[in-house]
Amino acid sequence: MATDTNTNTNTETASGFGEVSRIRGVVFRYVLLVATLSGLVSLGMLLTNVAVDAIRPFSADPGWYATYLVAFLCPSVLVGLFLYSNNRDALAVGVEGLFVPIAGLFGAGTLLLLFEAIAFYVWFAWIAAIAVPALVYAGCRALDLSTRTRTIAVLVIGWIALLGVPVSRFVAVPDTLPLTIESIPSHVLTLLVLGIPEYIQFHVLTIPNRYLTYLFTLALPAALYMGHRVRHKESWRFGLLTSALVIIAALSVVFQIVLPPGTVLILVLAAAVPTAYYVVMTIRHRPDVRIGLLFPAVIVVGALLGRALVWLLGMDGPTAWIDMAFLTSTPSGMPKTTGINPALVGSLLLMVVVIASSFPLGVGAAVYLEEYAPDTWYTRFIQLNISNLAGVPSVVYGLLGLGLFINLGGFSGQTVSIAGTTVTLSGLPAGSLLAGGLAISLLILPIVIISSQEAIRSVPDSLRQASFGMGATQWQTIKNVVLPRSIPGILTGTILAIGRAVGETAPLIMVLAADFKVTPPTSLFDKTSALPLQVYNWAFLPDEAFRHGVLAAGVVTMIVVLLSINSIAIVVRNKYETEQQ
Amino acid sequence: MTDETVTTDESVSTESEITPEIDPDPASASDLESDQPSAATTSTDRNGTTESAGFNTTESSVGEAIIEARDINVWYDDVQALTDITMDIPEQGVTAMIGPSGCGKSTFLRCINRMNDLIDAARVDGDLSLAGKNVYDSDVDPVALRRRVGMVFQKPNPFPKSIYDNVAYGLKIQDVDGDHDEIVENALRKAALWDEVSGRLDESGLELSGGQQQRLCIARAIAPDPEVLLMDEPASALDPVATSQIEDLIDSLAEEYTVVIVTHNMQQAARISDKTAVFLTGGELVEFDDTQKIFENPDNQRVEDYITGKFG
Ligand SMILES: Nc1ncnc2c1ncn2[C@@H]1O[C@H](COP(=O)(O)OP(=O)(O)OP(=O)(O)O)[C@@H](O)[C@H]1O
Ligand SMILES: [Mg+2]
Repeated sequence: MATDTNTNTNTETASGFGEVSRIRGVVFRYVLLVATLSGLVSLGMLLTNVAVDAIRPFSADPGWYATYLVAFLCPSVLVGLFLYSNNRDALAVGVEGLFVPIAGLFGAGTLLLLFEAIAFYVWFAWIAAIAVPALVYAGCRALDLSTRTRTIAVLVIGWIALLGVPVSRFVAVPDTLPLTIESIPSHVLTLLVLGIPEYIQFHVLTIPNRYLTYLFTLALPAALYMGHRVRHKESWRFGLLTSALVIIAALSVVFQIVLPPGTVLILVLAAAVPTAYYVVMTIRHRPDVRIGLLFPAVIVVGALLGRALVWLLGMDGPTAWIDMAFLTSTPSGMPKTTGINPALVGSLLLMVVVIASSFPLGVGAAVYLEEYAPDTWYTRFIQLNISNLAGVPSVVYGLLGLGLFINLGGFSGQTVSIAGTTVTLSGLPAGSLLAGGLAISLLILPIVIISSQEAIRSVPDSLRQASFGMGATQWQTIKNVVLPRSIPGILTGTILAIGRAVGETAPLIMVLAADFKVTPPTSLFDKTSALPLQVYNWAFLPDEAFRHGVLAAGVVTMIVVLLSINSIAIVVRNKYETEQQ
Repeated sequence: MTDETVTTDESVSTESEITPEIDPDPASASDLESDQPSAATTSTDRNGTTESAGFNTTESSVGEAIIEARDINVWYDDVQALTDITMDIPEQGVTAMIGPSGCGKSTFLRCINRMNDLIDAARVDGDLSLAGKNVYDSDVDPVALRRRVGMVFQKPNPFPKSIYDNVAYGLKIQDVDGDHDEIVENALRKAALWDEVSGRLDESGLELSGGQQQRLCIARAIAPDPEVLLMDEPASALDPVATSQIEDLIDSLAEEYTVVIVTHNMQQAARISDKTAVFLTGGELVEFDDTQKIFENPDNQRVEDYITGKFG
């Protein structure tokens, strides 16, 4: 014994290295592991619970599961394992290939929901009006006109296209115009007086329908864009061919009678075209990994096969609370027929308002603070306050929104007389889309500012120096060097903040009407509902089915929306990160 | 010259025409000489005549003074970085600046194109004229000035844009007329980079090697055709091959441009420059003369010690 220890110590001393205790480190490591795991597990349990409530997987026939197991799950898993053991890169391509159509379907769904709220002719009118100055700009570039001429041309023609010739508002135009050769001059006059949006909405409403509108405003640009992309990678012949194929696909949707052609057109453009592009490009350019496309193919075919089989065999799937009908119907008193559509559309539109208001403001403030503001005590004071505002509870922002946008700080409803005319002040309508969106914008503005500042600060100073050294003005440096370099970071931060805000309930309870709203808003001043409000409402209904099933379905919808927003942020970041290497 | 963009051009060119007649070379040389003793140590008296003779010959060989610094003092907050710098940098030649780290070489370079304006703490005092016009006059737009004075930085700093866009950056922001493709190609040729990148102009400038990036930065700086090119240790991060490429490049650039280069490499300064300015710690210009003279027979003992490596 004693000799043993002795020899041991001797060898240790001889070799010159003792042993250093790592017990504390090991304990620390496992404590961290346990903490992480318990967090993940409890989150997982919560989500599973909600998902089980929403989908009710136990209500399905066992045969239903067996069919899908055989037709869908087994082949997919087998192919997945095969790829995993043979060619992992190919599997990665396969997963990506699966992601493209799924993301496309998601995008199509979002577009359809949004287009439901925007009347297609309004959409058409505005796109047509914006296209005119855009074309003028492209023309000026092609003709190599100077920047000043270009700017003036775009401004003047853009103004006329959008709002009409300024002074001509006093010219009387006919209310209705026949579409005949003789009335062309009056059409031109009306166009000049009213501008394109109004002219189209009130005088040529008969021309476009939903399908044609989408054909011109979505399919045509998509065809041009795809052609351009392919021409870049291949040859101009291929580019032309691609454009033609997209147009043909867009035209051929009128030959099916299952769904309205406009809807199918959007599905084709958002899901089918990108998928086809991805598949063709992978097959042509990445021969070593194209086998991976087998994976999504098996999954899609398996899913369709399973669907066909259960239908043929007459087996019932789970009677889930969340299904297509739930997403497309309006809320009602019956748990079976109720839906979340107005809230879903409302939330998407709120998001649009939030992006439109907080992004320019937040990024603008960040650029100012980082690039222009002198380092003085008051900029530091402002900076400190922005950081503090990011920590203010959301309910306070709700109150602020209510007081500011709806009550105008107490001045709403009061009259003021300016130069003899009396005006009654009025805030935004309570519960309106605009008021809700602005309230949420207030909430995330500090976060947008801070994350944009961080992104701008991460642009190396050497790049600014290089730009200034070339004789660039501050504005040129910001536009050409700072913003392009920081936009991925800005976008990631902003998208995450918006995702966070859309799930926020407190400010919406303050600003939006808490009562049921059965139609999606059709204008900025229309009352709107929102996902968290809808869920909140369902939580207090007496009917058990509402509180468990429908509520869970609403929660799942909301979580899916938020996760999609977050994944957009991740995709954006990854894309730019690989590009900027 | 980039005529359209520079507001002060008219007055400048006339003045620079007149300057040499009114103020002939020997005069400016003695001007400098008389300033020298105040900054340097005692040994100047002895060599006074030799110095002015050497100065003369070089001036006629490399051109008239295009940059004239008079009593430039620079402070960063309360710390003085340059003390009473007076020197005339000749046109169309290479002027090297050497000196130990922290002695203010970069600071002086930044005085020439007013990049010090961008540093909040920096305060510049004194006159510095470019082609006869004091760049610190209130009517001089620093942005317009920087369009006439190109700058290459110590660390290659290409933009995260394509090679083409990097070189065309100055053309774009300065709204330069003409065939940009041609100008870009010429600039890349002058920077000895064309053969290596001609097939991949739309790849990112960051994909190039360090030496290629530095030459890209040089191409970017010379594309808008500046009058003066300032280079702050352009070869400090490069291997010997890339360094000698850059040295060749500077040699050929000096035929058209006025090049002012900061370097820590004595041999480099000796090889490429016509004139050499030696700064020593404390921000003083200790000696400024023909390169040959500085390296073979400096007036100042401290300069000799520095060059032979006795301190630094
Ligand atoms: N932005 C700055 N703010 C404060 N002090 C500065 C700044 N830049 C330089 N200095 C100071 O000015 C002095 C001169 O600096 P400068 O960069 O001009 O030296 P240098 O000769 O170029 O040195 P090196 O050879 O190491 O590049 C140094 O003491 C430095 O600390
Ligand atoms: Mg330096």
